[in-house]
Amino acid sequence: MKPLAAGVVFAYLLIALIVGVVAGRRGRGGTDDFVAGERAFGPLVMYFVVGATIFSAYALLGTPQRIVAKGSDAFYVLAYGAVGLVPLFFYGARVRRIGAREGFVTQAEMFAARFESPAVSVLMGAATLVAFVPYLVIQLKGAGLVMHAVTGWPEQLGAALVYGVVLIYVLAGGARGVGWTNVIQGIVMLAAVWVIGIWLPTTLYGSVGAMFDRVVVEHPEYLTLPGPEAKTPVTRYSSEILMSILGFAMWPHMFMKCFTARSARLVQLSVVFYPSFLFFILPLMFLGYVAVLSGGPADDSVLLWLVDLVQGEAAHPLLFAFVAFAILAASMSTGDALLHAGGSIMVRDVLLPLESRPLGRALRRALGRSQQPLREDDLGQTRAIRVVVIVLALVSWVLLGNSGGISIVDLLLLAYSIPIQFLPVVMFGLYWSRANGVGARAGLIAGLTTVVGLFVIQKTAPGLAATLNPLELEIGLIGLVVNTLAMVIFSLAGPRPHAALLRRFEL
Amino acid sequence: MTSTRSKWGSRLAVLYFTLATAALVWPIYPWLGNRVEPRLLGLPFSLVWVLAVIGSNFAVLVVLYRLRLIDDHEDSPDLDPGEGGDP
Repeated sequence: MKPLAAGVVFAYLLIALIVGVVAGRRGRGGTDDFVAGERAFGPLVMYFVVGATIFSAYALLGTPQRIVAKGSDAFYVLAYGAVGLVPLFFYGARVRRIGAREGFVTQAEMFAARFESPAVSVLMGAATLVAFVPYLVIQLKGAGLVMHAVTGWPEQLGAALVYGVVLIYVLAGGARGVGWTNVIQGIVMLAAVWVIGIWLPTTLYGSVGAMFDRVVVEHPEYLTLPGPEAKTPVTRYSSEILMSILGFAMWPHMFMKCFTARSARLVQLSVVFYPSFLFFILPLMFLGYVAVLSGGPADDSVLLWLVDLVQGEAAHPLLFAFVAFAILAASMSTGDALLHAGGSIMVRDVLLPLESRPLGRALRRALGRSQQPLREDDLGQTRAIRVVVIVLALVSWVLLGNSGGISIVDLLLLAYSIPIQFLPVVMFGLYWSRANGVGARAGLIAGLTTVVGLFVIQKTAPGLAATLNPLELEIGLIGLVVNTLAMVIFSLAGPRPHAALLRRFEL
Repeated sequence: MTSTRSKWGSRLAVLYFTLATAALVWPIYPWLGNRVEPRLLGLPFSLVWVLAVIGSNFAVLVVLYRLRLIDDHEDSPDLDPGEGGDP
């Protein structure tokens, strides 16, 4: 147990809890409020909501780790971040307007209406949940790692405590609770990372520049591609960046942020200020190079290992507490958004459309809810969202412990190829008046089947996968091509959407 | 409300961001950016290059935002629904 760090961490958990719950009490209640915070986020909250959500425990722990493992390949985070949110600048304002007018709160809801097809919503919603779980497990792992370093508890116990707090403020506070806690988390992360990122190279080498002088002399291969042992060809690096750029703004919890902003202009403003969050990645790169010079481990413990380099210095306990705090903030600010969005998506995008089907009606009767459908029962919806949030957290927590069965890294591979499958639906839906429901369904089914199919083949029959995909292209990219082709062909074959519908979507 | 000015603004903006993306990947990045020298403030040029693109994108976004070139109209809540749907 490290007393100072433990004090800071527990105090922080308490504050996050109080702020989240108090912020949630200020709303009117109801699903619309719970999901989209009454569309009332101002510039400050909006800024930190976007930034803190994107900078996950994965960015914080993974960036220095990637430098140690693969050198300048880690710059790809900056490269895709430089352009990744820009599409939102172009369509975000319009999405905000349409959302406010039509009462949409999720991405799938909007496109189900645009394509007049509940199936689109169910497909998108279900795929999203598959993508969310591994992403959540990574956040839990970050929290567990920190709690282990601070208190010596096993990872799963620490993760359970932290996510217990997250669950309480997500459940009590809804979108507003998530927003206000993100403000605190964002400020902490920015401050902590810059302080340690400058302080550590300066203490050890004199300055950041002097540290790079040493890297140039001792390990120049870490500064350019293809990196140490030529592990990263430039083409591979480029395709990863392009994939990430295309998929970035498609993540449903990112897309949903358009609906939570107070005005359409504000959506654009948050895109403008997004690069300032990238400058927070920079000190993590410096830390990666400190680890390269001092022979740090190439796994996700490297950040905490670095802090221990200055063990014995008076500032060490304070520094350690600060970093622990930052990692926790990063984990929680992404985890809470994923839980909150996951719950909303499961209920509004998957359960509600299925409810009106015969099977759904039968199920409802079996549950003794025959009198009132969930669609008309606002309180019931909020309750259902809460149940799903708890289940999602539990599933992720169980997966965190059960590392023997399915590898998290493998699941992440699948997770990252899913949001990119929404690209044709979103782009054609917003910009191509000829796109229709037949095309959208065909595209989604083709894309998602390709991705899942290739993933399963890769895991079960690597030989067959090598024959099918000789160039080792990313499965998300193959899925995207199939998806786009299917959507274009079936849209052209299907009926032309009527003018009244297109007008609602400003087409 | 799609004026010629904003139409051309959008096109130029899309062109700019396409070029900015190209600068970060093959073949432009390995050709121009992927090297250690010249160093700026001690940072290797490969890193400076990426940071410069971020800075430049930020500047362009600020200009686009200030000039209200992209999708500049706002719905006020009391507006008649359907008002926003200019063809």
